[in-house]
Amino acid sequence: MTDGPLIVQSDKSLLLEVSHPRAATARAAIAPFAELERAPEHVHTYRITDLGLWNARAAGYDAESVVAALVDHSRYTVPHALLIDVADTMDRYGRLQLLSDHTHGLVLHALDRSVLEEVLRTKRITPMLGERLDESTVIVHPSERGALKQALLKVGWPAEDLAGYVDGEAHPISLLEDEWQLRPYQTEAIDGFRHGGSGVVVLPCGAGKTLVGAGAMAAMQRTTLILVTNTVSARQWKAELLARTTLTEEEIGEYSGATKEIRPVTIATYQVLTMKRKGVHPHLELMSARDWGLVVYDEVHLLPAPVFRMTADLQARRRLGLTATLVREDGREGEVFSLIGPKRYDAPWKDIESQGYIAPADCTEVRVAMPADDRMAYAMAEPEDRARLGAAHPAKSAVVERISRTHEGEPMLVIGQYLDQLEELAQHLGSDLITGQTPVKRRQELFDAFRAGEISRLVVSKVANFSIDLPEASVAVQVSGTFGSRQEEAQRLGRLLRPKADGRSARFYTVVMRDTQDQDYAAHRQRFLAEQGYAYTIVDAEELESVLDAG
Amino acid sequence: MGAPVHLMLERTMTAAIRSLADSLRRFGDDRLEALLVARPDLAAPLPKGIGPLAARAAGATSARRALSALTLPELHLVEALAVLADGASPRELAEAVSSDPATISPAVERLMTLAVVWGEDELHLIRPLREGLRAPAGLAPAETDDPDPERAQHLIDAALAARPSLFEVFETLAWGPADVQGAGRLAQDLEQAGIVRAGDDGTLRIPRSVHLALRGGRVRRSHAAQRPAPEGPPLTERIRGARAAQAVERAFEALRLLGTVRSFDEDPPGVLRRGGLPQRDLRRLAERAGATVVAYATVLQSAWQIGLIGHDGQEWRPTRDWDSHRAQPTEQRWAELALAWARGHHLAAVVGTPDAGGANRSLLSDLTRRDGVRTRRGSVLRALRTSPGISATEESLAASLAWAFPLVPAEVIEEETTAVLREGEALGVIDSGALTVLGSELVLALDEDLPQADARLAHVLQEIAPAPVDEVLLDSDLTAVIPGRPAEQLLPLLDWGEVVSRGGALTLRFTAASLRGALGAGRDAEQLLELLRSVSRGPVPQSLEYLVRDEQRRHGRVRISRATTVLSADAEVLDLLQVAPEAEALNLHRLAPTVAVTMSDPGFALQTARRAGLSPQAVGADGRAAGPELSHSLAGGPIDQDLLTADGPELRLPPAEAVARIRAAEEDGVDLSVTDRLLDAIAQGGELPLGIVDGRGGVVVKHAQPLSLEGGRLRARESGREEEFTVLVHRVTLG
Repeated sequence: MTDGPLIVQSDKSLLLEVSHPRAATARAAIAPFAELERAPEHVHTYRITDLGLWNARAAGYDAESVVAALVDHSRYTVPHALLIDVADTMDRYGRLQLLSDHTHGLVLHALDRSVLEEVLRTKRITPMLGERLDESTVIVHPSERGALKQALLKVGWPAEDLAGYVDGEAHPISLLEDEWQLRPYQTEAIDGFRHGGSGVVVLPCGAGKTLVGAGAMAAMQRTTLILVTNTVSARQWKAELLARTTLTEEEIGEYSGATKEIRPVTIATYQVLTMKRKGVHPHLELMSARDWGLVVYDEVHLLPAPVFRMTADLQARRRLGLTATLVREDGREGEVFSLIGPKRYDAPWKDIESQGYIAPADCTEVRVAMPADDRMAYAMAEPEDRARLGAAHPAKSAVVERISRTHEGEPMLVIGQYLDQLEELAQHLGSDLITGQTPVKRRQELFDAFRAGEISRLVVSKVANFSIDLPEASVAVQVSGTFGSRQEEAQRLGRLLRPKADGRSARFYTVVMRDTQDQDYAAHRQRFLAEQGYAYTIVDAEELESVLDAG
Repeated sequence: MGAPVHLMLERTMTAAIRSLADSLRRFGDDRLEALLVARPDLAAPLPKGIGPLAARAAGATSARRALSALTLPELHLVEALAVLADGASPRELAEAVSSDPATISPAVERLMTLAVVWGEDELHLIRPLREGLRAPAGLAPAETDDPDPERAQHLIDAALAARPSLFEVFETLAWGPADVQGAGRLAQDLEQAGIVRAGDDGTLRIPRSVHLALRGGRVRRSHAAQRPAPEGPPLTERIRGARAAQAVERAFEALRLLGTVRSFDEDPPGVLRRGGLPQRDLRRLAERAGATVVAYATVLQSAWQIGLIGHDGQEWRPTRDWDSHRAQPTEQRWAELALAWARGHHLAAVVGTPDAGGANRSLLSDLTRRDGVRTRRGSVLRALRTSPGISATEESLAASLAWAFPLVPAEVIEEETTAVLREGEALGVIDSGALTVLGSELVLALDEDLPQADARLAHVLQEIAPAPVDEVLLDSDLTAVIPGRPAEQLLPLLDWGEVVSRGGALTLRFTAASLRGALGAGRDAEQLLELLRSVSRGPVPQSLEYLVRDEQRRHGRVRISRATTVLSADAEVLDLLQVAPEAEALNLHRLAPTVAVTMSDPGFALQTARRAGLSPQAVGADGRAAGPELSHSLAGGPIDQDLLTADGPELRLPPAEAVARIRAAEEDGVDLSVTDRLLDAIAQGGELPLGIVDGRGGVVVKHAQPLSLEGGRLRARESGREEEFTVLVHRVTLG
């Protein structure tokens, strides 16, 4: 018993007592292999997963160091079975290696013959392999490099890909660090990627992922394909690259629904790549249209399935994934691991926040009581209509107005899902409204005006969930959302987590109808936000007045 | 063991041993006790003296039962004695099993202690075993027309001379069974050479004398005097104490599983018609508890054995003992559970698999009970204790167990070995083929009285488990972390939240549903907040307090209660009924001016209303007139508390007391019943005058030697004659 800050649970989660004097050391020790799951005020929960252990292994940690990290910081003696399990799992990574053989091309080499025998007997894997060269080496069909890695991960023997990369077409790119500099963690992330060759960098929203991408491009000096979630995001990438690198307008192409340019640096949307016509994806060819030296995947947690399939064929090219979270709501974390690559860099939100790069936020949930008449209507409504009846109730308007009065002059976003509700609110507040129907041009105008401080309020629909950049928003009011998705919440909060000049806390309000489904969804959001360590308060609408006056 | 010393002393004092009874009379108390412990059937009922004890020991049924107490070398000696002529010397016996007298002597001593063999220089096997073993060491029964040993050797030599290639065949035949298969040329040759003999049904069999000659006059090729020790790779422990921590975790996990029995109140598992808990229910319960079926079954079975759960013929439920068990300290509860397992006669690991007859064995039923399993489980546990520091393989443990119980079929041995390992793991006493710290103590506890054993186990768990903690860490994501084993005062928190993670610590999450559940069970939200405030390291988060108060606000907006019968009438009619003395027994409760309810059933309410001068109308739930079936609404019956398993086949008296009483009866030497005197005569091998009542009431007296007494029939041989006669024992008188 070491009386450390860590408690190892039998479900392989780790509880870290934050106030313990050795908490920081323990956190540093477990960070390489454990994923932070919840980070509320007192006890942080990390989880040890197979992927996490393999990520650590890929980063050069061995089983001994992981076991030592657990044992040294644990408050209680760690049960034997768990240690064995951890060590066994870790040892599974890299027993198989993908190598490049000068005569036979791509080969699978086993450091442990029995493992090779086992996988050779797996039905799904056999067709991907060719001739057996010796006891521990077998030829791999070059086109199966990605599929094989996926299949090996599925059977629990993730292969280490040491087969190297094609260089791709050279293209000079460098950063223009005139009035700014890469932050230390961005440099670390770029180094992590460069040494690993391929992989994923995990950084919170607002921590400057685009710059990590630009830095990686500058490090590689190769033609680059950048895949992003939507057109707005594509424009932002372009603007950022123009501003921060030596790249010029002519060198950057946009490949989207509207324009289809292929240039040394091409930015394409997932949408256009996955567009299907007569059962085929006509634009997936873009991925092989040039001899790309680097492929960057923005928001890798949103990467759609067809792009995965295409990526499986791109294993010889360097790949960089950027994301705020490795958690995919579809559970395809394994594919990110095997096709894009292991995690190369990760910084927990709160750490970056405490370094002052992103602003802390205060979350307040305001509960509005439904008038008696509407409650009867709500009770009688069909279940599928209830979500809307609760979430889009007009009683929310007054609350939003009251909040906006308190934060008069501060940049504020009102975010919602139901268009009529948003229209009504926009009218009520006298603000502009941005929805999916708003033309891109108008959208950018409004954003620019908002950024410039010409307008201080915007009402936005789901559009706000995607990668837009609103650096100065310090207040957000959420009036309705979908099923309390964690991802959506991360995005929304990300809108606020921008460094602010005066260091004030950002405010995040959620307006909820009491005793409706709205409240159940809110519970999910509350949990997520509290788990991220943000202060969370619940007030009744009747008490809002006093709370706002006090705060 | 003091027995051999006694024997030596006695030998110097007395002449040769003449009978089994004579042999037993020379036993010291220790040795007699050992006999009764090993053959408990001899003491039930207590024999009146050593003579009757010897006679009973020599009875066929008891003798066969005694075989099951023998180890492999002992069984082999018995077989060899059955093959050798009566009165073989220890040297002859040793040679017959390819050993030497010194090596076999401990086994011979034990056979004597078990009253299976008697004599010194001439060893005598008790008659039922001498005559009753069907194929000792795989040899055919001796037949009168078997060739004599010399002739048998001659047959073999001749056959070999004619066909030297038979040498290998003989090697194979020698140590195999007497009955052989074959129809070809070889079989014909062997038959012609007299090596095998064809039976009437065409089966081929090696005559005993020929078979013995093939074996070079020996009965057994080798003698395994020592029990094979468990084998396996050395036990590794990456981190010191990690195995003990694992054991503690499993022990507490077992208690957690035991705690899920509480859910039986709401959702009880059913009872199968032939007894036991349906496999489907077991799987469901295990899944809900997040445990393997074996682990859950092991815990449930142990709980059942100490009476914590029982059934009313319909459903399994916790018992009153469960309530008192819950009130005990954690360590004590585990001790009881582990001891119940070690002392039980059932197998939990085999549930869901078919028995020999093809019936699916269900948990908590007779189908999972097996006589002797307790002894064999103990044997495996003790064997594990003899081999510390290794991770014993299942095969080596099975081999060790098979040595100790040679008559138990191999598949039973394997099944039980597996069961001990898997079940023991669930309770934290075994881990990867080795005893844990807890398991070592459990083995010691096997030989102790219950209270002592309980205390020992509770103590060791307390010793190695981390101390309980009495604080919680509350976070605004509505979780509470108890950073260790919860102390008594924190246990109420478990009623309010869902456990989302367990292990070294416990993470609880308070949700609207969990709070509602606790409020619904009548718990007080203010008390919860009070408790949280007193045990939390920091302040109670606003969001948690809000949630608790909000749920309390919502709680009870609909109130639901039980009523058996509803009465509706005009207000004044109900007023009248309520004051009528006849209706007092109804205990009417007015819900509204025109509605009253009672807990009495409708039939009684109808009668009462009639007696009060009203003419009530019976209506159904829909308000329409209903028939008289309304008056039969009683259901259920009392819960049967008699749930415990019967005692095992063990000795019911303390062995010392049993011996003392036999000795006392021996000294009195009077009041022997006819049966006892016959048994004594059988044991002594003496003759006596038997009066036999004939069909007409007359008595014929025969001088005869009683041979056996079994099933109410006496078998005896008249003196001077060869043939035996059998007579019903109630027709026998002794002068």
